[in-house]
Amino acid sequence: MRSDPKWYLGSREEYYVPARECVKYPVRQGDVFAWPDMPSGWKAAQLVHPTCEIAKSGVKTLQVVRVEPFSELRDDSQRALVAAGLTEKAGTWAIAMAHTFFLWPWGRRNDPGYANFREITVVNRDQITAENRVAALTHDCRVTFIRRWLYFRFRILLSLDQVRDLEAGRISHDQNFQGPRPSWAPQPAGI
Amino acid sequence: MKTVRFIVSQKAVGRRELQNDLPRVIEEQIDEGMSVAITRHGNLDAYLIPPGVKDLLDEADHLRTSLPVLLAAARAGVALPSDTLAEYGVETDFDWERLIRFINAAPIALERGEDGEHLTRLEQPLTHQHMNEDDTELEYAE
Repeated sequence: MRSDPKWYLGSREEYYVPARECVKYPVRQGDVFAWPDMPSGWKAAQLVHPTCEIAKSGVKTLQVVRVEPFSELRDDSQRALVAAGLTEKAGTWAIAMAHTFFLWPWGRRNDPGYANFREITVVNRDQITAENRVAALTHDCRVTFIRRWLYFRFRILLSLDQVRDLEAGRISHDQNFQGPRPSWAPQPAGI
Repeated sequence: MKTVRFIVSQKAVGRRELQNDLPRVIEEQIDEGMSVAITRHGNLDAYLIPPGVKDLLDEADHLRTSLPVLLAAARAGVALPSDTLAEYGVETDFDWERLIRFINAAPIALERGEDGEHLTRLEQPLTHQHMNEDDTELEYAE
């Protein structure tokens, strides 16, 4: 039997780069940001724009989705669906809340959050800086983000291993890759 | 709470009678939601069941595979999203950390999308083939 329900990692340490090490990690897709003049009602935003686009001079705006606190959901049944990303109906396991990505509490917060993929906007690239970043995803967590994002956008379910393998191949051949590499994507000889 | 009705008609129908009078059997038994025992030489040969019963049996078959995970969640006090647990009145305090860790360790196989649709998967291993990307930007007419 296929068994690959793991939408989300099981600890804060697996989710986020420790604050003291963030300086080594450039801004990437999946990172969470907050700045003073955010779109009306927004408290935080997750970058969904492709990482390789960020450095291009022609890119003036970047795509972000709204991040909302768990505490603002209606009740625990809603929170359970977001945190699980799946549900059981008549003996069958089905994907739930496909438009969301669960976020462990970051910084000093105790309340988890979630990104709402349906609420997307573009913001000036000047807002998406290391200074405005409140949480940097680990490479492993970014794989889970890409998997969920792919499913939401294209309704294609890849396994965690498939997404990681693709990401490893992409990173390994990226001559502009900066910061610590994931252990599963070593730099090939000659690059 | 959910109840399942599976009613078998008191009257068994022989194969010959079924062949000769199928419309009447369907009208008198199946249309009334009864399942009919079909016999041959007095021995049970098969059941003729209404469509609704077939759906229930399919559901029961699915439950057979998911039930161990549901029971484990109930025993561990994990608020696993589940219509079945809700129907049987199993209520648990919500703890998102326990929930995520339970799911990551459970033998759960995703089968359907949000609206019950079949999932599109790629079964073959994926291999990365590197391609260089051109950086030319869009330019607009004056």
